Amino acid sequence: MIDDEKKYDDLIKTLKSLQQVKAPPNFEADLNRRLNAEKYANEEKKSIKRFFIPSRLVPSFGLAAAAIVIFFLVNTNSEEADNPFLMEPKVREDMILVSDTEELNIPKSKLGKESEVSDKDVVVEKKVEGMRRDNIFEDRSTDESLSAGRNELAVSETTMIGEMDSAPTEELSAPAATGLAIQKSGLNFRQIKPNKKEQEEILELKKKVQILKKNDKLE
Amino acid sequence: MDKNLNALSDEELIAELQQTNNERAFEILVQRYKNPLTNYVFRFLGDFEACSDVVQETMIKFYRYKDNYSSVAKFSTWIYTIAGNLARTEYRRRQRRNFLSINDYGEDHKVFDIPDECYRPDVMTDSGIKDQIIQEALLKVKEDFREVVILRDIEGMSYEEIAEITGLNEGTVKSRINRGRTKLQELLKDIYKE
Repeated sequence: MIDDEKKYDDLIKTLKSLQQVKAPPNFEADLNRRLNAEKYANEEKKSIKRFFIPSRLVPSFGLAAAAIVIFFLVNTNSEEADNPFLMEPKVREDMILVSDTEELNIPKSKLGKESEVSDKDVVVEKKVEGMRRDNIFEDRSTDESLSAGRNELAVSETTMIGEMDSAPTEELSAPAATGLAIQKSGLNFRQIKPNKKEQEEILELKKKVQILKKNDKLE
Repeated sequence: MDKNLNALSDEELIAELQQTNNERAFEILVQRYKNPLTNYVFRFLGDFEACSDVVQETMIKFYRYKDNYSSVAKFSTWIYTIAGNLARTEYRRRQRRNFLSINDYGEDHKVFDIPDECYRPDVMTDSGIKDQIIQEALLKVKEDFREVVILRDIEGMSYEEIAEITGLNEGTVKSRINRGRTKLQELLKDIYKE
């Protein structure tokens, strides 16, 4: 080994004589800057990791789940309250109702056996049906439906007269009589606001009906 | 307190750093090793900027993994091992980059060699130029041999320390040193003629 050292003595001396390379003057400052940057980056990483630790996530997940459950509960309740099919129908006071068959002046003797069913009950039943339908289709009341309702009423009244003329009076039954007066389809009471002309027509028709009745009596 | 720390050995200082996280102990160790490490890495890489980066990275690693150091080994061998590993990685990275950038040049994919700027002995008088020639010769020696030659003949370390730093046995270290010296002598024969 010593021989080897002697063999390369010149080379070793040359290498040892090489100038020592020194670190740059700002070495420590740069090092501190890099270390601080690394510390800051590590802290950021740690805080992010800490945030995603399962034990840390449990409360937030619980809170989120509770919020979802509460939201659905509240939402379902509100839906139930607003459900139109489950609501009680509103009582309409502006309706034109025929409360009794006596208004039509149809003698009870002319009515069939079915007239034993009280007229009032039938009318009330029809009234309730009409009110329900009104509540359901409240929003659908337009001018068109108004006019359609009026036409329907006019048609029903004319047919009523025609029937009364042609058919024998014995065949008239109470529901038929009352049904002619107020048909189920024409029970949109809110729509019936007859103008003067219509009112006159109705009166004329009533008179005609009375005349017919008198004629029947005389016979 | 500061005076006491300066009087402490490297091993005592790192123990202080491990136990109390005293930043001053770290600063003193940096002051002690920044120049020897810069010299060692520069002789290995031949580039001052890259060498400065490697030494800084060495210090950062030392700080980050200070708790991994065990008092069984000498502090100097531990920090030289870190620096050596980083220097080797950087050297290989630079070699790969140079190889790709040279071979990719031109359409015919011809291999271009960097021109060898041979020194002229008649003008070689300045010690700076002599240093440069030796440095260039060192860079021509294979990296395995170069590393041990630098550690032995420039840094003045024992075979035992070199073996510990490189992770080789002493016989391999001696063999590599001899082969490195032979190559270097061959490259620097013109200098000895003078």
